[in-house]
Amino acid sequence: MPAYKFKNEEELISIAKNNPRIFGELYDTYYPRIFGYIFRITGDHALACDITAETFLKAWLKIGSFQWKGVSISSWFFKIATNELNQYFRKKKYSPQVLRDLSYFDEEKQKIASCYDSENTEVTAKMDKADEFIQLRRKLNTLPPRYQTVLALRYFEELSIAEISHILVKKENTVRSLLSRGLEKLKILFP
Amino acid sequence: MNLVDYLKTIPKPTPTETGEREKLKIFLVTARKSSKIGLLLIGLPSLLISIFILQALFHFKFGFIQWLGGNTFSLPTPAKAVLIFVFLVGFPMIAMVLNLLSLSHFQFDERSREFRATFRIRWWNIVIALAGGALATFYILRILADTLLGGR
Repeated sequence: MPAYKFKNEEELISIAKNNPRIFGELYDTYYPRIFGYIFRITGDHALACDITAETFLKAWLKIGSFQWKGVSISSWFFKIATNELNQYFRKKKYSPQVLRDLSYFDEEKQKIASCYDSENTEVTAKMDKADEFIQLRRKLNTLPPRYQTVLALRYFEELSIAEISHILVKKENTVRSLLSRGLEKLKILFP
Repeated sequence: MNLVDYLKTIPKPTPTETGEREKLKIFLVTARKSSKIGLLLIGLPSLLISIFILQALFHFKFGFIQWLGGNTFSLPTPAKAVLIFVFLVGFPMIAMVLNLLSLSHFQFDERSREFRATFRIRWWNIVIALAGGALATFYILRILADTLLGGR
């Protein structure tokens, strides 16, 4: 549950545009979901940290242009994260451009790296216990990226068709057919 | 169990949060300031350098130097010279130094007693630093030439 439930989200976003502390509240609220989404798709903790950091950096730098259309800002964060994931899928490697440009000093990078290190041990231990999920993710990773993201958003992140349609900027019917084709392709991989 | 039910019910790993994430948050909320400084370091010097180059090399009439001269006519000649020197040499030099500083990182490792210098490759900053340096040199040489040959 968001910590700022006493305010409505539209009002909060308009304040966050010029107030880093309020943006920090949004970051605190949605970081776990976005990080979880990226991590469950990639299965790589360090990469998920990079993509999540880049996602929130881009969001903070561009929040001035965000226009409220009655949809939670979480969809916007998911949209940026999905774009970053697509970049990774296209190039098979990932370079967080904004993070790199703004990391003027190595101390900052070390601070971020220490965040990765301490969380990494815990996450790796958890993943070891999730054998079944790892098998599923391996199968999922063989599908084209557009099916991976749509299936992950629907079944791992439990988002509605309307939310996915907003994130992927596709019509709801297109999302439904992507899901249906993705499921068919995934079914073939299960003996 | 069908595939949809399987996907819905399979236990999904959820990475738990640690306090370390706060450090990333601090970096994040100061990032916009860094970004604005970066833009300022690139945008303003680019504009000034473009005006100076177009005016000095291609004789485009922006009237900037004339405006500077016209608005400072009441000042004594040495003060006017200093002002023009600051605009033509000082500002490009500042652009060069600031852009070079934004590319470099110096670190002293006490354990190994090593001093390390790292330079990033960021082309916009490099181009502006070079252009700023070239412009400052051009005006310094021009002033020197005017001083040495002016009396003849």
